[in-house]
Amino acid sequence: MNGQVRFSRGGLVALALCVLAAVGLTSTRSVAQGRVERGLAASADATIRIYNLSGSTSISGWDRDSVAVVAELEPGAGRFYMAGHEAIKLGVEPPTAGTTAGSARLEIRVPRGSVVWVKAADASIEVDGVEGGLDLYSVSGSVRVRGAPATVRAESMEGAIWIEARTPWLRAKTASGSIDLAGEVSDLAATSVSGTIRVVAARQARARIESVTGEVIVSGRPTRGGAWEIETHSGAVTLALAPDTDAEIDVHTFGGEVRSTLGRVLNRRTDDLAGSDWSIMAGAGGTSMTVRTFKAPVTIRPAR
Amino acid sequence: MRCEEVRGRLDEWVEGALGERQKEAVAAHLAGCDDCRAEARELEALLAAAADLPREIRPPRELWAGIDARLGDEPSPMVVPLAARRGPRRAGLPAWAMVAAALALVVVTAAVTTILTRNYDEAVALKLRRAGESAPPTAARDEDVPGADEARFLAASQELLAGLEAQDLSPETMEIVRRNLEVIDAAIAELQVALDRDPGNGELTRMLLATYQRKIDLLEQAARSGEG
Repeated sequence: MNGQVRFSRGGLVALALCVLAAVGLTSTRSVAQGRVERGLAASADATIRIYNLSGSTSISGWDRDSVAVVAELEPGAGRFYMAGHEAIKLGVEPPTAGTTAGSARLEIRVPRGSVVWVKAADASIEVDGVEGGLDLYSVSGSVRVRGAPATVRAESMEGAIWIEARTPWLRAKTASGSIDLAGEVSDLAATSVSGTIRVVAARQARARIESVTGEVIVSGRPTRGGAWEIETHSGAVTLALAPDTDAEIDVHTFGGEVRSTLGRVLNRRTDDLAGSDWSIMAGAGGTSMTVRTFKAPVTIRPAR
Repeated sequence: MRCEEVRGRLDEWVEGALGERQKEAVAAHLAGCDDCRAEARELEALLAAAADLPREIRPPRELWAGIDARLGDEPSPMVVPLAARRGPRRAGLPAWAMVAAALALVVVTAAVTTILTRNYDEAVALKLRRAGESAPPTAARDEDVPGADEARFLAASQELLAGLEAQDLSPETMEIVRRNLEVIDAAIAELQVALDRDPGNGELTRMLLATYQRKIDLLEQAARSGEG
């Protein structure tokens, strides 16, 4: 005996099959070329950073202490990676930094209480049922959120943002993408440069909406006691509110036309240089809504 | 009395502040001197126009709230009570000359504004061209200089833009940034033209600074795309 172990050809084949079977039994499993399924134990309130430049990233919260990912990678999309426990990083590493030749579709399940951070270039981002904080950023992809997250920060330079959520704090920002917000949001701020902003008023205690040339449309019935501030440079502002809305609405515009068919006009003043000031009382008042524009038309009317 | 003496007392004459003897002397001179009489009439017209001006121009509520908060209750050591500074009255320009100068300034400003805004688009285009020219990279940090806030915003946006260019972002991202900067710069130019017409308008100033803030926000948002 010289200490060496010798295998017969049949033994080597059997060993190879055992190795393959062991790999198949682990949580990581390559099912087919370009498709990756992977699972990882995670704390219930894990912080998860997700990075996927191109394609789509869909995240949903579930009641398990683990993260599960199905990734479908086009050729040239890059390499999938995932690591961590309390702080998890996962995503697709592009072949060259910052650019990718193919897109990746990620379907990710995370513990419901996770804090989730997502970064994308043209990939869309969709989040549903996550109750921790969300920080979502895409350059030109869309961002969609549903559920009751602790906080939401959603940004896209050119993509649309669509959020229907119950959350105490929400910030949505685009350059030319549109913003659609609905749900119960205590503290809301939406900003765009040229994108349209549509907000369904509900239980907002404070709402601030700003655009440069983007149109602003507020509909619904704002809850009494709330404070709304809307400001545009030349983006038309429409308040299409429930006919039984209780609000004091103050409008100031330097060059825009004001039209109101809701409530009573209490005061109206026009000056060539200082512009127009309108005070309108809808119902019994109680919600403060202030609209300021440089030269945009302002329309206040009952919702149809 | 000679013409020079009479003209030196005209402001007191129109204000009715001369003694009886001097009043009679000036009246006698004016009765026989067409030039001095014309000057007296001009002065009376100026004072009448000045009397029609509003007694005070109050800043907008929100602007005043900011100023008021900054003032605080304690008097600033930089502020010396007027009574303490007032020394013997020095001879200077008569009151009517000051009023005339102020009104002349108003007229000149209005004329310049009229010329500037005769073609509104041209004025906005001019502002845009100026905005495109390079401003000093670091603006003077002088809280008392009007426009200091604007200069700070300009410097900050130039710094951010330079940082963005150094980040080597994708051409698609830079194109989105460029398109939106054009939108914001056009808005800034329009607000500056409006402020030229109405320089004391606090609401316009606030809107201008808010639009600069939007520019900073856009550049910061674009910078995030380059972060890992």
